Amino acid sequence: MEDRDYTKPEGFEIPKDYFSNFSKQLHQRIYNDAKESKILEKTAFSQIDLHTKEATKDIKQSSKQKAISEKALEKLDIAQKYTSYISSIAAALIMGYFYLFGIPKTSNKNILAENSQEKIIQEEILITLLEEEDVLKIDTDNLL
Amino acid sequence: MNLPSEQQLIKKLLDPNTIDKAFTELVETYQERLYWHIRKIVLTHDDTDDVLQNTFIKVFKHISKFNQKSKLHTWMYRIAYNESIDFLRQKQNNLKLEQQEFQEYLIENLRQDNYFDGDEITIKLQEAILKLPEKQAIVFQMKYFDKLKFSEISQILEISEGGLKASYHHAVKKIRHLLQTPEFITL
Repeated sequence: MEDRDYTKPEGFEIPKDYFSNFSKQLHQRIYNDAKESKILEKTAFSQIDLHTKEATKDIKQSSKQKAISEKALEKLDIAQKYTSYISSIAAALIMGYFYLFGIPKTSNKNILAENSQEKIIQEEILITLLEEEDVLKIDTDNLL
Repeated sequence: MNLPSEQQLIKKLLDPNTIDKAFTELVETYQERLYWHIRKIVLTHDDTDDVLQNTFIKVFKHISKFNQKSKLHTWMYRIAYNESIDFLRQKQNNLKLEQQEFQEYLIENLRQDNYFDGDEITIKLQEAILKLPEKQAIVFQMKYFDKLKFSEISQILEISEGGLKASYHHAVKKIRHLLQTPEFITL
């Protein structure tokens, strides 16, 4: 095959100097392709870089937020502790007061007693009223 | 180009210090024969130019993977053939044309090609080749135009010589039949 003459088929032509320029054109294309792929590579790397930066920023922000929320939780915990502490002091003070000065008169028991007394009075009034009505009724009957 | 010089060229192509010079030598040695090999498949000059460049770029990129089990030119012929077939398939897909429509498109392009001044019989022969199944068409082109031996075609296409002979026989029969059909000639 090496020594065979590679003549063109009938009717097929090629531009003048095509083969003498082909090698040069090919090298130019290889150079351009390499340049383009280098640009693409560069773009890809800068994209990766950008994404890495964004991810780092996100991680930093989230760790910052985590620290804030941890601090808030700590404060809440302290506040809860104080609340329970204050409540216990208040309860102790009240108990101490009762111990020293006794239970105040306006206790629930008294209120209940007062309420039952009021009820008795109300019932008495009602009975009186009914009795009066009966009297009135008798009078009216007599008149008729 | 004899075998020892091909081996020398391969050696230079595999050496990073000599690859650039060796590649230029490779291009200058094989550009013409590969050009005509491709041109017979894709038909127009502009398409051939694209495919020839793609072929050499592929050779350049994959020379380190060349296992030297076959001859360098056989390996390059195979790359050129595969690149040509891929190019045509891609073009057909891009144009969304059926096989028949695509054949008509290729023939019309050949007629309009500035670098083709063949007569009607030459066009009809190309049209008849396009109507052949892919394998028969390439075997016919390699045998009829390139005058390659069946043993060489067998190495390039990785098909048994017996299979190639049968394909060539069928191809010749079909082309003869088409060129003797008055409807095909007058179309």
